[in-house]
Amino acid sequence: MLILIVEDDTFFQKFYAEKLTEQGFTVLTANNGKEGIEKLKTETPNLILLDLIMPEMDGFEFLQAFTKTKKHIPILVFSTLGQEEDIQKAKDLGATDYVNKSFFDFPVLLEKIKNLVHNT
Amino acid sequence: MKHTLNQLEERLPMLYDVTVMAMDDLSKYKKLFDTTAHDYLEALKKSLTELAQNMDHTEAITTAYISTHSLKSQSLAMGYTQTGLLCKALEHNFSQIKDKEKELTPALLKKIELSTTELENSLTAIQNTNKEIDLQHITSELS
Repeated sequence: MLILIVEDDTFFQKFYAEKLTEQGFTVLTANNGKEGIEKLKTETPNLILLDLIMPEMDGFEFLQAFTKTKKHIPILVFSTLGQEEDIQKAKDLGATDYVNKSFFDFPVLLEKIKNLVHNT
Repeated sequence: MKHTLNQLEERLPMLYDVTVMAMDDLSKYKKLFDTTAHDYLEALKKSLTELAQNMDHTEAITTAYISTHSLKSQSLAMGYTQTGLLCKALEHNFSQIKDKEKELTPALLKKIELSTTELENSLTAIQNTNKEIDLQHITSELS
């Protein structure tokens, strides 16, 4: 099962990659939205974890560009404290669900991932 | 000394209503936090140097916004609540400046610089002792 993590923050990129690999997932990473779109030209992950605030191409721009790929992949966006309005904006652009990374609860994230992957 | 967010919220009305959740054991990520937090702090400090020369430096404002955003998330995830909330206040200011909702004045820049010094002091304390410093006053000044 392949997960693409689109996240510029090195801490969270490594953290999530390690935790998900421990759970048996194969993980790809991209440092911003533009890299994420590039990865999708050759890979079709089962799920995308997407940060919203990134340099070069942010999460919202990624969601808009993703629409043009015609791929059907669930997208779980990361939210942080103070981004509640952004969650709705991301959902309006095609994000499937969100997870709060400021107050981290890995079992919650894992459950959301499994539900999204099994429902597609 | 760690405070619960409820204790901080009494003093900081601009804070959102949040609940601190119990964390996984994140101690093994401490070294990673120290390294990445240092990198973001340096990027923030560099941005402030550029803004001191030119307060309309768009790229510096964006870098400062992303740096404080990332520091906020990492700090809160690791349980360094006061540090995270100071970063939240910095992020909010840079977001407003970036979106032209607030002007970056010399007085505001000075406040941000002082806050960044305190942020650095807290990150240094975290690195050396795994305990953040009291940042409530400086966070209030920035909101």
